[in-house]
Amino acid sequence: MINNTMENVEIKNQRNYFSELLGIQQYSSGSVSSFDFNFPVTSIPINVEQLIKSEIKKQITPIKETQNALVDQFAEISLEHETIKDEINNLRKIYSENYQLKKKLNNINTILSFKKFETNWNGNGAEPFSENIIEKAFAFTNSQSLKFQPNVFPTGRQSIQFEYEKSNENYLEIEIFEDKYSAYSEIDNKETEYESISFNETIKLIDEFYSRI
Amino acid sequence: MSFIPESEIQDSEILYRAIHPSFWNYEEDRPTSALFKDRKGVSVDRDGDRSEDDAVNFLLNSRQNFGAGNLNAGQTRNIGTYLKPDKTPENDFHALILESESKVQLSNSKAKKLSRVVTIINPPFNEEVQSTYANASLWEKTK
Repeated sequence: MINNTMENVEIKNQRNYFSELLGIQQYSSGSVSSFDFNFPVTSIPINVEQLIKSEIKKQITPIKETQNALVDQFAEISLEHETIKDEINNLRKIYSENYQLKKKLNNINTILSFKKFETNWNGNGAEPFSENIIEKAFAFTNSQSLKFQPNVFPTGRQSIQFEYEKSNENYLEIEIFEDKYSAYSEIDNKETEYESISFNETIKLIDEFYSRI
Repeated sequence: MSFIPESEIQDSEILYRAIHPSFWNYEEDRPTSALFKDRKGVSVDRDGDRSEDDAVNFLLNSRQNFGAGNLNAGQTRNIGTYLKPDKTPENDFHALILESESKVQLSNSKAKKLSRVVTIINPPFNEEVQSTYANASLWEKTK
């Protein structure tokens, strides 16, 4: 008898516990009150299931709304970011073109200044530069094919040297002689000499040099 | 011990090289390899037991706006060049850096190596070029 009473109390407590857990205390006067708590959980009666679903839905709705608002906001920010990125790329391109143009003007001035060199300009008996070689160097610098302007120097062997160097120490020099172009490169510590090459081959070397990382 | 101009150049000697303003890379603040490309060989002065000041003053005596650098003879020889004493009527200390005993002009590779080992005493001065490159450098930094 005592055992039965204890069992009943235990079952009652269990019912209250599950009712609170499921948040259905307020509906206990309805069909829920006849809910069999010893029944396996997988078989929760349909009306309880609906109540749970409805409660979950109620709680999820504002979360979903917030989530949608955030997605919209993120899309807007992404769009703005893309626009800014495009603008930065455009500015970079303009800057690069201006820089090359400015360097081209400097190089043209430098080459033209070689016209003033008289005999022994280098203190070791170097001869003045011929008109031909100055014109050839000028045409090279001014060529539309030359996308990257070098640093320009005279040499004491009647040639004009165009020099390129990257921060990784890869190096390319083009030497313009009256009758030929020659080149020398140090790329990834490998030295290469090009004794006599054409204008197009020279341009190709420069383009390849800058296409490397 | 007095200096003998015709004597073989010792590895311990210092060689002084005058630097024309056009041989200076103002962007990188260093000499170009073109400094060591010369039809007549690379003209240098041996130290000849003089102090650096005396040697540089003598070297730049009639070379306005030139800079000066020095090379260790042994290091220059190790690059594969041939060092030849070349006393002239005006200059007992004169010498030449050559490609080899039989070839005058240095290869591009040796010229570049020398341009990277030369120690700069005074860089050359070119107001016009310097201001142009200073602006270019400033421009570059605004990237």
